[in-house]
Amino acid sequence: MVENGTEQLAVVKVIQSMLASHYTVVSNIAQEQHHIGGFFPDIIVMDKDNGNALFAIEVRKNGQVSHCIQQWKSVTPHLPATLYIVVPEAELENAQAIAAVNGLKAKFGTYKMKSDGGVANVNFL
Amino acid sequence: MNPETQNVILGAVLGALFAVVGGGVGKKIEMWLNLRQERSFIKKGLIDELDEIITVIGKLKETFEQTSQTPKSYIIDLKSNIEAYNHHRHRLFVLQGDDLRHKIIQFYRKLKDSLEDAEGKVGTLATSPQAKQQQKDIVSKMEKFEQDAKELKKLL
Repeated sequence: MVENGTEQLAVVKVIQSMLASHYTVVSNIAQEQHHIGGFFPDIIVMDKDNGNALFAIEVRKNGQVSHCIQQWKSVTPHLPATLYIVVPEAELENAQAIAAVNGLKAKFGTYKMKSDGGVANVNFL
Repeated sequence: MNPETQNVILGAVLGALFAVVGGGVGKKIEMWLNLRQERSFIKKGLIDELDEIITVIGKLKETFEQTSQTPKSYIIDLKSNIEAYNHHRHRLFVLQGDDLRHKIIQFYRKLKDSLEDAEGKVGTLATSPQAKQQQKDIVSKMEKFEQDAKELKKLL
């Protein structure tokens, strides 16, 4: 579940609005109600036509990249969607290194926080 | 020993000999039939699996052509379609032809490696030319496996 008033929530909302025009997007902001393969990522992106899950997106919780990667390590081999881990731009290399060491097969997305608390430059790699 | 007794003894000896030889031949025939049956069982299992592999790759191609996406669910499906091979791997020697066995082993080994490799690459939200090219490369690689699976099916 994504907690109110957090950086994580702001990022989830931006990603949802970015992808909504091309995909069906559901999130687990309010409560954990949408799952894929028995797991609850922050966002699930589905094909608009057939409803098939395409992407599971997990946004880093404050200071918990390592925890986030550990959490998904055992899940990804069976997850029928591409897993994206979204981290602040400055933490990308660190997150990729942790993923490589842990053998996590995931893609990454990045974002920047603006001084006013807004989210900018959301980018999927 | 009179000739009559000799005939009785010879008959008994020959009878025992025929029973032993006949039993041996019967056993050989039974083994040969079992082997034939196992060979046919393995071939059918592999042909069914290759059919599934061809179907899933066909869907992957179709989805990519229509949406430019390579959903990971197809990779999961393909990974579950190497079960028959894994099951029969240790009895593949009953198939006739070194070349056929070599081709089967090579096909599945390469497919498994490629699926492992593709697992972290399929599907992208990125719009960069590199990301699109990577998806195309995955589809091209799978297309090659589709062709190889069709060839292998013909040999089985």
